[in-house]
Amino acid sequence: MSLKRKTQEFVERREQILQGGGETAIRKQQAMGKMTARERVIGLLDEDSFQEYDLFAQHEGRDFDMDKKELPGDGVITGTGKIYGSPLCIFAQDFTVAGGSLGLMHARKITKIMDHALKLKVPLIGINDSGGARVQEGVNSLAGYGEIFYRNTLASGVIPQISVILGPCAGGAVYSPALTDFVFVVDNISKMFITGPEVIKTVLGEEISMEELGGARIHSSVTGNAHFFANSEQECFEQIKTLISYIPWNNSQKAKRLRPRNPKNSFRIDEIVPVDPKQPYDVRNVIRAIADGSEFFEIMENFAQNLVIGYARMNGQTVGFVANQPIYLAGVLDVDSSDKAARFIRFCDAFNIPLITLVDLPGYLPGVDQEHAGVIRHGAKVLYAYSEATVPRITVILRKAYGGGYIAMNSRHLNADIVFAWPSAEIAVMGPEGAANIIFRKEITTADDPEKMRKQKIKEYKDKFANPYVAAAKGYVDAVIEPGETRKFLLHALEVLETKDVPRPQRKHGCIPL
Amino acid sequence: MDHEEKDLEIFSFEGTDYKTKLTDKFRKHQPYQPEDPTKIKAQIPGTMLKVLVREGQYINPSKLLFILEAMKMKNKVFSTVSGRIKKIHIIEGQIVTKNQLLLELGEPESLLKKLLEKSPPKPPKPPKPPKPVKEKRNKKDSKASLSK
Repeated sequence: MSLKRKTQEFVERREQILQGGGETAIRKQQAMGKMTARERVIGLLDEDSFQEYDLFAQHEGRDFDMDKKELPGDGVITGTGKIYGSPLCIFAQDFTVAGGSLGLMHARKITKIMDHALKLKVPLIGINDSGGARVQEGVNSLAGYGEIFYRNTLASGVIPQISVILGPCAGGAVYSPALTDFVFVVDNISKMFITGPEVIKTVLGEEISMEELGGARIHSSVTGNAHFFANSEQECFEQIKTLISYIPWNNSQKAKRLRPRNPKNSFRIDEIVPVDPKQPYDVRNVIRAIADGSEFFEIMENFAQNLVIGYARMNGQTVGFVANQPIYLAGVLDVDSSDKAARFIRFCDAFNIPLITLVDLPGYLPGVDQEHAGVIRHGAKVLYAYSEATVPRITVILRKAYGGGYIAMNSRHLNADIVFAWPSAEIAVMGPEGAANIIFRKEITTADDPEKMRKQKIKEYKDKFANPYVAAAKGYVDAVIEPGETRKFLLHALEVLETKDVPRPQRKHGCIPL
Repeated sequence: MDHEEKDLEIFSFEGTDYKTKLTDKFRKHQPYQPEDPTKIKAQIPGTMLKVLVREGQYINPSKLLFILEAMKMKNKVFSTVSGRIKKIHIIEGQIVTKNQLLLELGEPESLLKKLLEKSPPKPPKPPKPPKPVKEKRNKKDSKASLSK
């Protein structure tokens, strides 16, 4: 056989496999409003940048007539590629092949590309669209999952790991995304749960649709399992690309520096923030007023909205913002927002992304449900994450900073590198109203006109403590700055802190309260 | 501004009224209600296999009340308090949802009286345990346990 003939034969074989599960299955996939696995990989990566691995892999299932079945690529596409020129590894489960079910070879392809990502120290993107374990392969399928989870864990904090849920991802399969850093979901397409509606109905008698149980909206607003919500796969890919542009390839590098830009003039700090701490404003606009090009890439936008996290650039360099959001619940910390903040802080710390914290909160949210949900344990995560972080940590206290919330939000006491405060900052154990009621209880209750006395005492307390100068006098605030000059001071601080080097005692790992 | 005045509500925090929006989760949160020890509820959803007590009967703590099949197990539901059964809200074969009321005991006063009658030297105690139902998971299937 000539080389030409052999090449011809190869091309035919390849074409066969590139069809995935075949026309009927592809039409079914399209009918569900979904792209095929191959379309997704091509659509997400830079043009012509995909190098496929293991196209000719074949499953080894023998039981239940599986040996008579051809499963092209064993239901998963794996390889390397680029996004904005940054190399990365990727896998995409192919629902058109045996429902994207995970058998041993399918898992081997995934673990191989994961090992590759860890070796190359580049990000890993996993596109999940699978009916779950390939039941015919029995325990081999479970072994496959376990081997994936193990690698997710080893890679954690070394390379960024991104999971994209573009179809069902149920049962044990959910734990790979759960172990990764960022989970992307798409409305009406993503479905994630440990046990599905059918099982819940038979075991518990509860009826619920897949969408209500584990759809994209639920995971991005209620459970906090998803970080990014999109209305279409295309929008989702744009979000992934943007994220990749903000984060480094691995933990020994910094994110790519872009050309510095000034914020837009339309965001003016003095017009955004009311001086009265009882009046709300959208803290994202403060970030936009500070950041390069007024661009802010928010993470977990719909979950625990009382705290905002996300990436922006300062002088072209990626920074992570953590900010209390006064427009929701006055910006309190609670169970969900604590989890949200702590996880983000730890990712930034692992991947050399400096942190800027904007403080405006009345404290931790009171309530039986909060206490019973473990706000002590969850709140502790914020303290832990900040204290542990060795990346540059800068704090700006905008207005109220009361009680435990003040300490938690990267205060000087948790060894922040520099703490700025605006003249509107109020650093105290609690708000003037609450404090006056406690300190002057006797004077107020015994006064001829208690209400008048109360007002007078509130004013007294306000005059004394509702400012940044008491804390500044103690060195708890390093500098009081004009709001309009915040960016200037932050840029200087970031520049100075570039050489920051904090040694930590030898240990295997800390024991964060989980 | 991304927010409109009409979306804002008053959120009271340590004596201060903040103008802010409420999150969905906050809005949905249920006010805390202490558990009523005279009302025994299902702590797990399932199917009621057996009702082992009747209305009007006086029961003591650790009295076996029901066998509730849930999570493929036959769970024994015991009483943790004493009192006279006022009403049983469930019949055998019925599907039970979580927190469904199964059984109601008489008023706490009668409980107290009964306690006093039983142990006259002791000072009266209020009816105590906060947990009304104790569930034990039990592999009740006798054949299965025999074959072990």
